[in-house]
Amino acid sequence: MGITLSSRRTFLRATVSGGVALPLLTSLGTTANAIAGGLAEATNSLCLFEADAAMGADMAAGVRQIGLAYQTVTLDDAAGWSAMLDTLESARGRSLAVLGRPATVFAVRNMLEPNWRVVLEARHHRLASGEMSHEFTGLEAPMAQLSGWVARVEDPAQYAVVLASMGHGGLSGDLSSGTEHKTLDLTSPAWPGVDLASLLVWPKGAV
Amino acid sequence: MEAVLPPGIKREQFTALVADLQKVVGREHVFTDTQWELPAYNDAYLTTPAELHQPSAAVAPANLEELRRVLEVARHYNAPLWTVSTGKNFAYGGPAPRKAGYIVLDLKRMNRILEVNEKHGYAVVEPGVSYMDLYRHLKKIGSKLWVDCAAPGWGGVLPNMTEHGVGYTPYGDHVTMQCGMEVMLADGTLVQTGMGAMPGSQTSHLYKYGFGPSMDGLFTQSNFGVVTKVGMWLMPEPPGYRPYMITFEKESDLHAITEVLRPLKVGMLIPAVAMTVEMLWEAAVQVTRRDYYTGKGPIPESVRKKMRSDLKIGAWNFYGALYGPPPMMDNTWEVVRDAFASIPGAKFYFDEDRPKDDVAWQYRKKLGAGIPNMTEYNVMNWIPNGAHIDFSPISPVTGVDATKQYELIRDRCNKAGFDYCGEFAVGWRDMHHIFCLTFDRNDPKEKARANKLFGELVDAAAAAGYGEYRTHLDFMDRIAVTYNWNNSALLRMHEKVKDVVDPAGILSPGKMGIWPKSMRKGRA
Repeated sequence: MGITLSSRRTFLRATVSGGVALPLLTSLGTTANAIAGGLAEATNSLCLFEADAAMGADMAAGVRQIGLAYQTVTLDDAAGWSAMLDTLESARGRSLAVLGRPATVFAVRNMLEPNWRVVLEARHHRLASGEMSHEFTGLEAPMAQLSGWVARVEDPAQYAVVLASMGHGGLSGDLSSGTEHKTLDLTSPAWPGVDLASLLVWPKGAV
Repeated sequence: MEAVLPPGIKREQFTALVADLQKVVGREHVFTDTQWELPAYNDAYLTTPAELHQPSAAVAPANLEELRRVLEVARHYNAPLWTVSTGKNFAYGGPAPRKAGYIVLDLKRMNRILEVNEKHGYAVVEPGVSYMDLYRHLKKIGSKLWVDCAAPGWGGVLPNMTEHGVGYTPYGDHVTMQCGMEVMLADGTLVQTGMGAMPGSQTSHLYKYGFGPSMDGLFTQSNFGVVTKVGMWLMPEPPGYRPYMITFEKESDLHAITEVLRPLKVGMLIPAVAMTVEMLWEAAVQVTRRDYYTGKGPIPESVRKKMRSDLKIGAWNFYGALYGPPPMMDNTWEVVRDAFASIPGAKFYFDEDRPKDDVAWQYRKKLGAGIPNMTEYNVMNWIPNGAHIDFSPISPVTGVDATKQYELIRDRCNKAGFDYCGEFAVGWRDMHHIFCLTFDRNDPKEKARANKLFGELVDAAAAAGYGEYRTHLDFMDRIAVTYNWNNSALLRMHEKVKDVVDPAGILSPGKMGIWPKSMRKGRA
């Protein structure tokens, strides 16, 4: 595939222009572990997602396949919550992709601010028509990147991988559009599982 | 979000003030960025415009000396501070200040667990210690002491007590279990209350009252000082713990449940803060409204019946627990069971009787043993963009009062298009009736309706002789004036105390309706 992993942007551009759509990201994990490892290194991102069957996907398997670091999140026990806080403590300087049910994501966000920067937040919910609605608020740069991908994402695990690929390393230098918050509404085929919320979080200093 | 200034402070003064705060705590612990930092100090659950509660800055001291110097800066500029500890007081305002422009005094960096005394059963903590933190620490050191936590375990041990919060074990009345307090007054004076006032005291956290007037209560739900340390009694792990649940079929059973419950509670056969929970609360932690009903307005009874059947819950659900050696628990259970069995349709459950995936049971089982978790937060998944403010009147433990309060709230909230979602937390001689008014935080019309409803509930409850024990920022003044016996003698006494201990009025102006002299005209 000839993908250069010098930056997340190069990677995305190459995959898009090559017509290689998601679920290619997951297939990448099985066909080219080195590339997947490179992605993780290049993005320096960490996925945090709710460990629950209601997510509609085997999140850990999906994310692990692409080689990204992850931490499960749960509201249901002190040990799980503490593990998340420990992980965050050691994750300073990395970008975070957070995905879970709205209450869980709200709770995680409250543990991140004001020491991290929530550059993008989204609500993902099923419409009466059966499609998935994605309501984004945040910086234009990552939102613009995401807009080309959302329609191709088939489940929350794939979305988490895409979100994690929006690390600050490649994008924070591309904020020519400014840091004003914008909104964007997109639709996609329905995801399995329940309504979700997500965050893209960069470390302090990235913006 | 546009930047705001503290009331009465000009831009250049504010710049100097921020610089002075930075000198005290370091640049990284003074927050002024309106896009990236200060939103963390907003209340995501506001029913009023965010601008009304937008802080001008936040400052996070790490220790007593930094706190003392922060107060010095605030006094110099006459800048109002709004004290928060862990900042998780959601439903009552979260970390947001009472008025726009205040500087949030964020104590979460003061998070040391100063002592755990296994022999006497207490811990001494700073304001930033959460229930999760304390639980984790106790586990780490192999302690056999239990935490008594609020339902969302990220709450702070100290601030939950100062806000008169309750937990779910026999040590659930947190103010009762507090012993020994350290307070910094607005002028920087550090005070130890109770026995701690004696140098070298051996009993600071063993006897609550000391010598002379007991002062601790003055610093709860107040703005008379900054509480910097408290002792909290912790319950030793009992030889046995057996939580139980009793479901009741009919909405009208609330009367009988409460009548049966009172003598059991007063006689201490039910030692913990027991809970009588309406069905929607139990449903909302595990399913969404849309799973069952997509229409507008309150959920019809036919749908509620299906929910009860699917989730194996009652119209009302009573949660209690037995503590002690097994023979004692067996004997107590016979009395409790026989009493509640007098209510037709009552069904009794222990752990082995509930489905393993019963989310509501699982988290309440943990709470009864002081194991913190956040499961109750799932109530916010009930509707899209879920948010809530809690209306919390105190009720006598009688069937007449419980039913009257329930109907007072249910009828008004149904008329306003909301579902009743509530519970009664049963204390020593009272019940905290918590109505979780859930609304879509992205829907301005629904927020306005929620706000209007809340005001109506305050007035209706007061007219019936019921007062709230705690409230959201937006209703502090409105509720304070309902406590107006003898020409508001209590509020006027609070104001006299405020004028003496904080004459410049820098500490949390307006907290619980108590304003400093300079701001009394601005009372909402």
